[in-house]
Amino acid sequence: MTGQPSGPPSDDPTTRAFVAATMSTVERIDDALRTLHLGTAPLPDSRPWPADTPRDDADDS
Amino acid sequence: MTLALASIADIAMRYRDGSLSPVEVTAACLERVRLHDGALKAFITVTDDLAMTAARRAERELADGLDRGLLHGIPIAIKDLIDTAGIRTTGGSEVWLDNVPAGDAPLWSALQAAGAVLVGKTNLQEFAHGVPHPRFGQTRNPWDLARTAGGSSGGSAAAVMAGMCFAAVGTDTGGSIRVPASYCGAVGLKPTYGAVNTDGVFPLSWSLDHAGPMARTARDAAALFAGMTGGGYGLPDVRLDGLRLGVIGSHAEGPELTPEASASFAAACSLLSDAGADLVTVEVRDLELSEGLLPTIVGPEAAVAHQDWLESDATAGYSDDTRRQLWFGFEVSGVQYVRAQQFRRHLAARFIEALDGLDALLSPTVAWAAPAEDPSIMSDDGESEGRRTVPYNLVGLPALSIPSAAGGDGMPFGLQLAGRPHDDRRLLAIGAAAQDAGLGVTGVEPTALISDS
Repeated sequence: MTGQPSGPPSDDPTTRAFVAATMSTVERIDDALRTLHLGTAPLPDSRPWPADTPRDDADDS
Repeated sequence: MTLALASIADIAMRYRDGSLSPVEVTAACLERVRLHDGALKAFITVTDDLAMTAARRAERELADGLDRGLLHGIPIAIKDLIDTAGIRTTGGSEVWLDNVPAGDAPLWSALQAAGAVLVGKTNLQEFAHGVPHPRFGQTRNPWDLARTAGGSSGGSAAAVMAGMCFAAVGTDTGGSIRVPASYCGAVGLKPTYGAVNTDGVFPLSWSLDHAGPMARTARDAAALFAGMTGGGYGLPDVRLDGLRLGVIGSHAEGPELTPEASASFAAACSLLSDAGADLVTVEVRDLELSEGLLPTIVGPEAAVAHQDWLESDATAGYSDDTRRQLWFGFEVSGVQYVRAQQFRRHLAARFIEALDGLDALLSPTVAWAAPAEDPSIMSDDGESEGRRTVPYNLVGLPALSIPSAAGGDGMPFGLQLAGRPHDDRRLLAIGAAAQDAGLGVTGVEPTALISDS
């Protein structure tokens, strides 16, 4: 599978038509969002460590 | 009033004064399942024996003076994509037909610690995403069997309204608690993002998934929410008199809003205003950019969650429409996905601005009454159906649907209230106050079940 992109089976015309129609909506919405020029705006918080990871920044002076 | 349509507080009080027992009430709920579920298809698995065992345990504990609180001995149901150890959990799909989780989702562990009695696992659209799988069928609406109960937590909504349980857990990624609540005349809370632990809930979209309570009243929903989160059962003291409520102008109108939905919303606003609430019209800047955005985030996240099955023999277990929706997710570009994620924070800030000086925002939950079939979330009708619910999944703010006046044909509508992060219990308190003031109708046998009996 190396180098082969995941995606819908090309031999199913109904799936291809559905994907094409839905992607046209995605592209329309993305074009609209680009007008906000969000640029370097941060993503929602998604820290990659577990939420219950203890902090180790307590005052140890 | 039918025993199974009473409130949780009434049943809990009668357990304590000895006039009713958990075994009697659980048996009554299971009898309602036997009577009506052939027509409704609210359940995928009914846990009769386990429910009666749990009810007998609750009865014994209460007799021995071990009181776990309001939910102790109360029959509930859980959507069938939430892990329940030893109990088949299908996700509404043949892909998971024989899946029996080894462990419990933390929300179910919390409910067991609170003494709740599980009567079964409720029907849903396939993995909360696609269409109802033909093997399980579509849950029908308790007010009109020719219509859908809504999706994707339609089984939970129908089970609650049919008196098969007192409350049920649903999940909501774009409206899947609030839409069926609106269609069935139930109360449904999409809590603040993260307020309910979604570990053990099969993901549709990590960014947007929420689990929350559904019930016949806001107070019953509050009881289940407290049980799911391990919080207290009390609600903040809220009076409608003096509340400041913002009607989202663009959501109070729209070409898709039917005259009956509009009239129901107007009547709800009048009731709140007559009770002393101050209603003002507000707008949320850039809100229109949320319309149609859901697939850009749900698509790729669901594709990743399902990829191993899609690319194996397991793919035959999906219904064709669900499989198509999942394949679509691979086509969204990383840039499109990241920009949509950036927009979530941008929009959340706009909602917080709009809430300045207000206690909650108001809108109709859905623009119409329950249709015959659920629209796909990736269709134009699906976009319109979720126009007023999806924004709160994007921004993570709590949103509650409570029943407003029914239409002339008796079909329910929902009023949506939304608040600031962690305003969940406050919203439930406002909902309870509105129901006390006469909003909607509670404790009534749904019409389709009367003719079905």
